[in-house]
Amino acid sequence: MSAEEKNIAYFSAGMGWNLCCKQATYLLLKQEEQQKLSFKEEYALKFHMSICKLCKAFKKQSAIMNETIKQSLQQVVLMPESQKDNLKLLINRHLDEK
Amino acid sequence: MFLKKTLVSVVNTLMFLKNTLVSIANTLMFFKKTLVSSKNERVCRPQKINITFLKYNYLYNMPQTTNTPVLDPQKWIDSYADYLYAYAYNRVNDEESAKDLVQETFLSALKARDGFKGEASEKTWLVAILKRKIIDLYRKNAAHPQQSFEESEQYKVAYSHYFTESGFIKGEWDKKAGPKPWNVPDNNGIEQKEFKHILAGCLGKLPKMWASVFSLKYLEEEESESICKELEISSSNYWVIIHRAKLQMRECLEKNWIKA
Repeated sequence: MSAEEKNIAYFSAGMGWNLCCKQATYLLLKQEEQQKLSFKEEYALKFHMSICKLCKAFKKQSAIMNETIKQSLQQVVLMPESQKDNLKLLINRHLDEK
Repeated sequence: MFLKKTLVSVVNTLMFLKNTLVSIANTLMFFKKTLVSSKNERVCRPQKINITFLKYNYLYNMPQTTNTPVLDPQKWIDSYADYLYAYAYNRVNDEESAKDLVQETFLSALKARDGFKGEASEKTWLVAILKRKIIDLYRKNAAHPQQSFEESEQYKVAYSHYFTESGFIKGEWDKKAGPKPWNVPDNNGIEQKEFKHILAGCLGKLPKMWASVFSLKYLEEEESESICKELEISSSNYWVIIHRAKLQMRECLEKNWIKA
């Protein structure tokens, strides 16, 4: 079994009521995307989040990351004028060919 | 043993509470729906007739030519180039490839001009083409053949770096790599530019497959299913990749962006 397969097996099987942080963060990311967790997973995660400070911090930071990335997508950038002129020439040439 | 038993009993009570709550909510929703639908019907009926009337009016009075789509390639550059360039640049984080992407979209839009049916506006049509091109770029990056060995090596390194593999409790956060409290910098224009720079750097440090998955997910905001299809990976593999990519990005951002 490759390392990758082992990891997948590790996550899909053997999640009990007792989660470790590794599994909890994995489930958190799944939950973030509105994936449906099984009932057992959901409550195990809730329980883990109520005791684990670090995982709480991870959840917060993950949300902050998502938001800042989203904001950075709205940044205004202008295309250089030289490139615009090049494109205009290109399009005109294409139109003339037809 | 005692702890386990108490836990199970607590969970059982929680289960019971949830079930009762859900059933109450369901009945409430049912009543609400019936109420709302009956109200809506009363309001909507006269409007419906109005709309059909307007449609007939439109069909008989309007000239037929308004239905045929009109594209004006001469004006594309002036009206859309900046928008498309910003769209590409914010996602690719590289001037040269953003320029290339915009040029390619204009060229293929010119080629596909006859296929434009006017279902969407000119702008959304162009953006859809550009989006397709960006996804293709990510896919090309992901399928880089030299990457596979490195990636498997990094797989081994990464998890044991973040979580303990042995000890009293397995899979706990490593003390050095675990999350620390963040003081998020303010959102000025300058700060945002810096963030973009750091984000690009951190993405560059990821294995290419992960970077593609991460940027498709968080920059392109694709659905997880379509990402799996595009990159030809299984869904469990996808979740593992997202998990590790997020862990690594979190650490990288903490080191470079937060500087606490």
